[in-house]
Amino acid sequence: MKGRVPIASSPRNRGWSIIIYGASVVALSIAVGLLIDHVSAVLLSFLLAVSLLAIGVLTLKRELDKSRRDYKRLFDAVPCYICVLDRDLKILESNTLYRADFDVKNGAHCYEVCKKQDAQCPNCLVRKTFDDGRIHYSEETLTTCDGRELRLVVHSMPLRDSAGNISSVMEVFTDITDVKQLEKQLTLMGRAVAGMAHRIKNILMGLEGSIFVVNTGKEMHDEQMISDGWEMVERNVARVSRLVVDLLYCSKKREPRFKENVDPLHVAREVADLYRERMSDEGIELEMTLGEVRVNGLFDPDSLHNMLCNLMANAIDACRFDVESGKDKHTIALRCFQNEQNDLIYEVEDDGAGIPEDVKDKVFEDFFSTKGTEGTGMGLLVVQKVAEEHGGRVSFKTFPGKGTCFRVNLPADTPSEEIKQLSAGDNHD
Amino acid sequence: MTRQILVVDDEADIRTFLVAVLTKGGYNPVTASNGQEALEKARENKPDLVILDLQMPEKTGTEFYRHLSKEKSLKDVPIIVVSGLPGRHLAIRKPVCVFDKPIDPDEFLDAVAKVFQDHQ
Repeated sequence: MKGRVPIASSPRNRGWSIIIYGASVVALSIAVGLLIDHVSAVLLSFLLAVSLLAIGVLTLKRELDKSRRDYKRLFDAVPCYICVLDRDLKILESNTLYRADFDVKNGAHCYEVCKKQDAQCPNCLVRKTFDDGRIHYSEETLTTCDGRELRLVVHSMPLRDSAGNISSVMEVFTDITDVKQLEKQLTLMGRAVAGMAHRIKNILMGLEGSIFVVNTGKEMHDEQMISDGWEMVERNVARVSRLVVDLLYCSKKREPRFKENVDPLHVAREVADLYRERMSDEGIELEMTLGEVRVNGLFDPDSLHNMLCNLMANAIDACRFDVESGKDKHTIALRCFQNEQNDLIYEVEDDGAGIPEDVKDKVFEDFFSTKGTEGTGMGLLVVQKVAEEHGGRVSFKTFPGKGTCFRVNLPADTPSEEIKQLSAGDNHD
Repeated sequence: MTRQILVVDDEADIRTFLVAVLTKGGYNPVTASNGQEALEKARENKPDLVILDLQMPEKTGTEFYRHLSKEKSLKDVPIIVVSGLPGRHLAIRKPVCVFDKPIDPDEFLDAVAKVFQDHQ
């Protein structure tokens, strides 16, 4: 009996109790009237009984209305989309949330409302439930009338009439957009950890190899080998250093250090000078175009430097890995100028391998790299972060086999006053 | 006579490492950083063995192999493939062995010694 509602307290049984109670009163009153053999008394008792019966009916009606209101309130308060459909897939009823987020018209079909289609969906859940009377579910992506894209789990359940026949089907849509987002983040994090382990393993391999070279050089008294091995050590330590700098840059909540009178052209020249020798070694020509720049010069120069270095390093690799083209030489263009909206633009364009179609969407993801053992997979994430810190954005155009152009657009009115003040505080420290 | 071995790999660190390993093993290594250079060095030096990375710029390892296998004086030079590429064993018709990176120096020298025993 634990947890079970006593029968007498249920509204339906209480209604019957009242009727039975009313009927009993009538019978008792008639009996009393007959006993006293007085017509007036019988009539009075009869009227009393009828009144009691009427009260019973009214109470029942009130309870029925209350139940309907409760049901309606529950139907509307449920934090998911609900609709009830007939066999023609027309919406008979829907809850408030459904009506608010989808443009529901009277007698509209569900596929018109949810999918903006003219015909029912293939593998229609509702149709299946009408056919077999069972609950079915699927995952759907729907767009609300204000343009939000939602990931939903949809269940279809049969509603039966008193004879047990399926009169309609209820669809319940549960919003799992946040869960899916979290799932994606967890996947990315897992990939990031795996990517990180892979990069560290590669660097360790390089370091082990270099130790072997140095030791062999010492054993064989070969100065050249010792020198080569030591260069390997330096290269691999630089790779660790680079990886750590990029990691810290992306993972730490770092306040940019804006400085006044920063010359963006000077940053471009510095980076070009830094890469000139390496590019020459790789047979890559540098074309530098520096336009007139009139912005106020409040930038984080170290960040800009880091950003351009990453773009240049990527462009060089794109040329190095351009195996198929058979080009005699490659060219990288570095541009810095102001556009018509006074935004500061940096562009790094290469005529290398281009970004394959299937990886275009992944280039700004953590640890994504197509460079095998050489990439940290963090470079473009750094570029994106620096651009965003300056209130700007990074975009790219790529043509597989022909090259890629990365463009960083830093609006003229950035950084915001708030950031400037924050930065001013930092610089005083 | 010291055996001459051509090391073909685009990664400078791997070349330096393999040169140290082979020098320690008593061989005479020659290096090339891409397929084109490798072909020139192979024609010039007539190596006894080629250590080949399959994933390189300019001419890939497989393209270099294709050229090598067409030249009468070079087509029988044994090849050890060093690569992380999946399906690498399929790319070269008859590599004498395939090495994954990282390379253990002792295992590598054993493999090289075995190549010369088998190809005497």
